[in-house]
Amino acid sequence: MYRFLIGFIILLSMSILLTGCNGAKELDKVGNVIAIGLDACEEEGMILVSYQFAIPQGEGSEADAKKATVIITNKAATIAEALNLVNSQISYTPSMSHTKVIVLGEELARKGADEILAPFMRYREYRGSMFALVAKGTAKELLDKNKPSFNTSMSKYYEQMLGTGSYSGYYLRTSLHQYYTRTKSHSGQPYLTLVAINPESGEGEISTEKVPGGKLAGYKAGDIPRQGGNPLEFAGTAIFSNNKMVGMLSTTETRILAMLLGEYPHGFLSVEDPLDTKLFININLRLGAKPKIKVERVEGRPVIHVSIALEGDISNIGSGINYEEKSYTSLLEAQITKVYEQQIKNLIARTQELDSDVAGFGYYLRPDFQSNKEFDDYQWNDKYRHAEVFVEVKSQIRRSGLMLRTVAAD
Amino acid sequence: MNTYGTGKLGIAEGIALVFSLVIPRLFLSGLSNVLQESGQLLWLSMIIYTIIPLVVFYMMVYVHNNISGDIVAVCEQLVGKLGSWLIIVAYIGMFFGNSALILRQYAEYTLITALPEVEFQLVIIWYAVSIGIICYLGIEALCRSAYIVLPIVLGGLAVVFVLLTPYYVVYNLTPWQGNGIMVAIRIGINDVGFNLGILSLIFLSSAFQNTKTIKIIALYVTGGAVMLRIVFTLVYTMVFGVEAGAEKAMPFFEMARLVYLNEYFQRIEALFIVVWVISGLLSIAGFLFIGLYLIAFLLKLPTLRPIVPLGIVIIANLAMLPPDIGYAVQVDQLIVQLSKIGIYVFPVVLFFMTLVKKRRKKTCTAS
Repeated sequence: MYRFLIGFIILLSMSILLTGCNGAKELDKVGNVIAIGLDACEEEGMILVSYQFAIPQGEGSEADAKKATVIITNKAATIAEALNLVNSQISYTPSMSHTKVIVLGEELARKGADEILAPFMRYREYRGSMFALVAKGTAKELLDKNKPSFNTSMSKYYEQMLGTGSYSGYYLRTSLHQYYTRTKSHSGQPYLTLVAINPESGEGEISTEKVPGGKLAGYKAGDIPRQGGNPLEFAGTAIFSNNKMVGMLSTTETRILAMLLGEYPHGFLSVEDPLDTKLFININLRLGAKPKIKVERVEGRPVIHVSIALEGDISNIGSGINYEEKSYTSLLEAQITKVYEQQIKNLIARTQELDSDVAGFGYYLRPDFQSNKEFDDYQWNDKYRHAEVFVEVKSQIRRSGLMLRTVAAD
Repeated sequence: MNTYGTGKLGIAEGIALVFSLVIPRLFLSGLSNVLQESGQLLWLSMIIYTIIPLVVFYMMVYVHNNISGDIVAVCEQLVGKLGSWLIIVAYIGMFFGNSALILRQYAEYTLITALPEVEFQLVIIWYAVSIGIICYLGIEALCRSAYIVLPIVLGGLAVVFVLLTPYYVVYNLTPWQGNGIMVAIRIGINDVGFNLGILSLIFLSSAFQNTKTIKIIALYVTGGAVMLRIVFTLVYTMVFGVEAGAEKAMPFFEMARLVYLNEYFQRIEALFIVVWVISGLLSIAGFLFIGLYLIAFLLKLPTLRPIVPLGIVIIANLAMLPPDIGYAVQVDQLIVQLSKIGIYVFPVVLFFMTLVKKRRKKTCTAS
């Protein structure tokens, strides 16, 4: 009886204390922040913090989707103070446990992102897996004008957009963790996904011209010539050097960066037809293997060797030439190699000019040193600019799609 | 016959118990501290600070094989009554200190990760009550609970390691020598206190079947612990790098919360909070139990159950003494350093005294 009573008391107290109700909040009393926008402010020492709150009742149908979020922007000295201020403006308890993205305005990113992003690593409601983006223009405008066309849930929209970047390689999925660890490593510079509002005028602006033999020019977010759909677009990469954003990579440059990072599942490439330059050939291209990168010191100067193996399937031949035949295939492979070698060289040269080793070549140099001190003393980020670069691309056409050969029309 | 040296425990229970004593600091800030000191060569430090206690353990086994009786009787025969009291009281202090500081850190991290709005004292009390129940139920309950929890903890760790694969940056493991080989060796020699728990097998020897059992347990635990620590460190370093990794207060929690496969598989850390809280509870209870066990042996008590509440009150109060978490982590480091005495000084003294005694005995027999 005595033991039974003690057991009963223990079980009862466990059922009360272990149910996790302590500190629990009702769902309809929590304001879940989906996105946080951070912008520079004209006033010294202040920032503009925009919180995009989800309204769960608003989600479910496309008509309601537009009312599914509320954006509140506060001018405050710190992000924490902005949160305090938001508490005075909504009847919910703000919660960042479900925040998907942090968007930095371009001006703020150019002033310096470390002091803004680093504090996010400390508070338990934020996590390293949150996506981090840079908005061309302001983050506030971006959040305001973002009207997903297909998704009825804003949080799902952000996750899906960043999850599907690997389809083309035109933008990368970047997280707070990845940004933060890069800044600490001294082995490379961080980069963030570039996003912008497109005017949808049908007019665009090319950022990266076609290389000889190539058919594709590169655009930055906001500059793609298009009409219709969600004004927000993800395209390109914001690159940093010593904590400050120093430049933007276009779509085609970002694809090259993805290759160098070994994060390029596949994407469609259009090259000039080697035998009829007015026409083009499409290849669904992927990395044949992880990029082979070797960085060494030759008389104190860094030398970078990049070897990329590409393989692809022909998806379109406009000219009617039988590129499936071996002798023609090698022509096509040489064309792909030429295009990519040039693009890789261009990208590396550009990032060298900006002192921004976003491809992380410094990581490959680390084994060359005995200790951390030696590596830190070498000051890789300052040496990157002076590195000599050798690029080798090997391309191989593996398949020719659903067609075995191309038979001339006449 | 006392009630706490049953002699029924086997290999599996022993492994689980000692694992729960040597592993919990992986979930706390200890790893970040040693990572900052050793850098990429932390694995070497870990091998060193695991092998040294194993050697010391074998020295103690030698002592036990040659001098009959429990640990108190052995010490009395070798260093006299006063010396024996000094050694046992020092060990009690080390085990209580470990228990209190681990309790404090688990309580703090429970507040940070899971229950931010709960009063700190309430968390300490809740932990203390749970630990008290475990200790009251005795060594068998403790070992067998640890035995049940161990595969879940190891499985959980393995799952997190696999799910973090997309974040691995292998080059974070270079430069291979980290902050220098000599630094890594020094850290390895300095931080043996992390493995004080291995000596619990000597103190609790009467609870285990025989000497062979505890030898096997020690080998499995040291082998397993060093493997787990090395794999953990390598994964942690690959994911965070030395610089960012050294900043984290809770390495395992940070790893678990970083898991993001897609929109359907993320935010899994809540599951692991439960795992590490349970393993922490067992660890604190284990350290406390051994402290109480030594008190019971020293005072020749027939049972240790009546002194469990006393032990709980002591460690709960000790745990609440540091004014903040930073200071608590510092004191924890100090306790680990002080535990060196329990590895380097006392066992070595006892071992040499045994050698001397054995030689004297031989000389007497010959003459």
